[in-house]
Amino acid sequence: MRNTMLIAGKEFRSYFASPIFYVVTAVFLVITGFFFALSVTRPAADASIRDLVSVSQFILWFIIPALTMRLFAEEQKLGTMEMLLTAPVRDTEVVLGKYLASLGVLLAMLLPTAYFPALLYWFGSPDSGPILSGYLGLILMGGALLTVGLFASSLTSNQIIAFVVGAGIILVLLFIDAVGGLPGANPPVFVQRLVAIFQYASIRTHLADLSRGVIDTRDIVYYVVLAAAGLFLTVRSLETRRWR
Amino acid sequence: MIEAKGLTKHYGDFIAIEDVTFKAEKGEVLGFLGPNGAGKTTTMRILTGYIPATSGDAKVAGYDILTQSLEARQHLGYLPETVPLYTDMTVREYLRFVGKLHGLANGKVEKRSGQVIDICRLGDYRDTTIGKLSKGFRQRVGIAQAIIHEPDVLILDEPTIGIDPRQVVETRGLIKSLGGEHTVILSTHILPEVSMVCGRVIIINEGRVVAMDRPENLSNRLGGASRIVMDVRGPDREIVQTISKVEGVKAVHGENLGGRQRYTVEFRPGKDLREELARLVVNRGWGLLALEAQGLSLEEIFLKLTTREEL
Amino acid sequence: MPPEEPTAKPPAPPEPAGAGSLLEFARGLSPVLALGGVAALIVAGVIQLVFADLSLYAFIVLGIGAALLLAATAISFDAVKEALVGRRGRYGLNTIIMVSAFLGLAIIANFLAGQYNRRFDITTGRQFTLARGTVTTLAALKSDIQVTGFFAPDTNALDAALKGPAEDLLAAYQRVTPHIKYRSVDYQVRPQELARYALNQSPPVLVFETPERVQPVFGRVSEAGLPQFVEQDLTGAILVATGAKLKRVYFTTGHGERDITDAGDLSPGYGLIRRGVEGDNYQVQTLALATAKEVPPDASVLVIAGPKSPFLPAEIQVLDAYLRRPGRALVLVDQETPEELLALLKTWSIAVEKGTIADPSRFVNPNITDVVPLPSGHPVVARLDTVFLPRAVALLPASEKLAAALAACQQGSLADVNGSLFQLCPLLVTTPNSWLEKDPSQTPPKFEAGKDARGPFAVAMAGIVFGPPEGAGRGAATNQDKPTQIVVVGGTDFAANANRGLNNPQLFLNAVNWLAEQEHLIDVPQKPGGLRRLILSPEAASWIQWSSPLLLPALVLALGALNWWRRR
Repeated sequence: MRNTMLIAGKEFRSYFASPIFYVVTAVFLVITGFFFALSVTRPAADASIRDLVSVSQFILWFIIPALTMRLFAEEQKLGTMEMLLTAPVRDTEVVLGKYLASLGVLLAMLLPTAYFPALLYWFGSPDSGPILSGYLGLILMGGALLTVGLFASSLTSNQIIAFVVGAGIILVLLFIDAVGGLPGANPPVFVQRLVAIFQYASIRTHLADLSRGVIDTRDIVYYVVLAAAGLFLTVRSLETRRWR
Repeated sequence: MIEAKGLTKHYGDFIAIEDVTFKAEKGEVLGFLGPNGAGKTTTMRILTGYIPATSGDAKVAGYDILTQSLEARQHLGYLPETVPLYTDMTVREYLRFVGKLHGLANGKVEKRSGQVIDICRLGDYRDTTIGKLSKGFRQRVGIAQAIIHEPDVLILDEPTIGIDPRQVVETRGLIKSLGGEHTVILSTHILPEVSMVCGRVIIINEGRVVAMDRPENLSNRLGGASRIVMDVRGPDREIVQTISKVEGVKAVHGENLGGRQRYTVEFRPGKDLREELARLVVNRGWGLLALEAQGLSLEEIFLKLTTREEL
Repeated sequence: MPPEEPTAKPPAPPEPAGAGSLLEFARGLSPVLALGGVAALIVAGVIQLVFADLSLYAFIVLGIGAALLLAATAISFDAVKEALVGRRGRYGLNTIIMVSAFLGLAIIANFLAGQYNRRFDITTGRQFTLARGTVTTLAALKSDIQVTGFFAPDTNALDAALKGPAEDLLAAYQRVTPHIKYRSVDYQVRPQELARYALNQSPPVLVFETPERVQPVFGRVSEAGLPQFVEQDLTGAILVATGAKLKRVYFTTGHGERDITDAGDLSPGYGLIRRGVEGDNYQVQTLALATAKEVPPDASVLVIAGPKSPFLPAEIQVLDAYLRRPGRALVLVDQETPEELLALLKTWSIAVEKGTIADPSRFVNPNITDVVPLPSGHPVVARLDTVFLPRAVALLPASEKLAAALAACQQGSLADVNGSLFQLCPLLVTTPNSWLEKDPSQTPPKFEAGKDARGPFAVAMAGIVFGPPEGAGRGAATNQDKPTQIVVVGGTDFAANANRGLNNPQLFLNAVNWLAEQEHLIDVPQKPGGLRRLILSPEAASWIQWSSPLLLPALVLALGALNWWRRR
């Protein structure tokens, strides 16, 4: 635990020391801000952040791998991986530490977006429930996607490759439900089942309920299991260095 | 402190090291000498648990590096070939981080990072960002991070590479002073460095240990003894007598291979006896099946090493 | 170990070159076989997962895969042995097993989560939690209902705003029953589909359709003045489409009762209450007592909502006859309620004491005459702790004897008065600090001992009467009969359109549901407008437009620059 927090603290600080964090956060805020403004200034607009949440998931598609790409790739490039893996620290602690740091950074990035609901409270009276669950959804989803990016970063010493691989996996996870549109009307039962499985596997379908104020244990389990899977695979990926 | 038994590492078909076996006692400074690509780094990475051996075992401070990896790593300080530095941290931040990573308590970390900064003469740069340090100072930070937790075993991969001559001398002095308390393994491809710093040397070439001795003995051996291995078909006793009489031969060991004998002939160097021995055997009418010189490779290695000395 | 070759066999001839190359060939083939085997295993898994009815084939493919793997292993035994037993192989195999086991666990966890999920609706008013009435209706569905949503979200902002919430609602329906089929049609793109239904109102609309019936649902005007699709309407449409008969609620007219056609936002009319009643799946009709010889036999509930002008004796007769049927009535009374009606109520056990109740302990600012009475435990009011009654009058048992009927309510029993069985339950009660102000001109109202009566007062009451009110003679009435049920509320403004906030409409609806014996609807609070519209002034809009995308990023970049500067 001490090691985990030690690594998390070190990573967290080095995020704020690098320009990447500020640029990525600024990009994130520009895009979310733009879409938020668009969604609430059109006629008959809802005083809600639902559009903000659903836009955010597409922005996170490239924001998340941009945040995580350096985590392991840079260690390999700097050669510090050799120091880290020969220090008396478990692989799990290294992975968890880096994950916690990136989670902290994600939260730091989401924090300024509280300005948007604040505007809603200022100019109207939004329903607090969906705002809370929407943020819960974004954090859960972001937390799960971070592990995907972390895994991608553990595969290579090239940050660009880590970014591309991470964004690629996330893209698949985001749009895997789109296969539902492939079969025509009235597909046979097994195709419907297959489509249902793909739809369940999609990250987007699990954000729908959360973004409108309904917390379903299924969605939480999906995200938590996805995060656990990403962390598990990252640990295995590090571990293979020890015997490959 | 360190015990390696039959370490072998294959990368696919490429054999990086084969059957590397050695021991290092407490307080010893052991040099790994060999040309580039000889397998020094591979051996050190295996010892630190960074990569696993294909076969063979090793123990560090009594702990198996595979099955008790974490315990073994607790007793280990390691300076890899590429110095592992976070370029965005200051020297002190970095040393604190590494110290804590090795389990030093907060108060102890402060004390030790102060000490290693003094030992490695980094005092003027303690709050400098590592990215701005010159290569020599980075190397010192690398050594500092390896010793901050006072490990029993110190593994240094090419600690003097790429730094300027004055610093090389300092660094060597530093390493020498570390022996005694720590068991040090250091790798180098520079021959004089070994004799200056190490109590014992392992020479490694193309993945194999070719010699292991004290530096002065090695020098003797270089000028001392060489070997010829020859397979001969004929009367054993007669052959041994004949060969022993040859000028320069020190000892002959025979071994029956069934139908022929294998003789290992040790002789004083300075003269190549291969031609003479071959002529002798053939003239006597015995069957000369094979003849091979050993130990010349050692000479060749030394040749390679000495020519690359940068001093 | 047995000898490898039988002794009788002649020495093995040198291996012909052909055999060797054959073996070599087979070795080269073994990775292909192994790959095929793994592929077959995966295919088998997919078949088993997806085509549950083809599991025989799944096992056949599984067998083929296993056979291929075995063959590959046999051909290149040494390589496989090395790969599995060598240090690298052991670790590799270990990792593969761990990863597979983890994936298996992950799938099981998700599967279990799907089977035993719980949903928490944290929106105000539990917007996405279906009413119990809806759930029972849906659960009872036996055949499919095709729902078609006509929206033109690309061309019409209103449609775009309504489509999502409507579809969310239908998705919630679909989670309860497989019988709701939904598709959406853009009526701008395919107007002919909409024309098929010949609707008399313009879209957006949801059309509920069974082979026998078609029922359209339009958006309801909500608080903010914009329409939205409401669960009650949708469930009602399902009932209509499946041919269920709706209960009827009659509102009397002709004595200055509140107007149920007046839906004005701030008006004293009852138009919005009427919609609420309709939303709970009743048919609402008016009844002109003067011309009616009787209350229609299909009346489930009769509502007399704040009459002002006198009733004719014949009308009182009609009402009395209805109650004796036995009937169910909701009567809202106030200062101006004519004496004839009060007399009728008195014969049916509830007396009204005029005046205005003031309650300094519980009121809605700033009028202490807008009292917020406390609910009793009665099912009609159990969850309504925020009803406010402006200018309420007090309700009492009609006689000393009937006080026993009040006690009976607390014990959950019935009081026998002259052979008829009575129960009188106060629904809403003011605090002991309240008083009944007799002087309407006094502002602010002050308690004057001797003139004003001290509380607490009942301001809403539910009465149950088995048998005729004047008494049925000893032992004549039993609680096996259906009783007459009356709810009297000592106020009329509370249900007006203008006062529809808090739980006020729900008190009215609960009373109707209780009288109509639709108890399952009582517990479901009417949802306040689910959508909260944002009404922005041009200045506010432009502030949001500029500050949202620019202000925050500028701050973050400035922070970054500062940090960079400091590190330099």
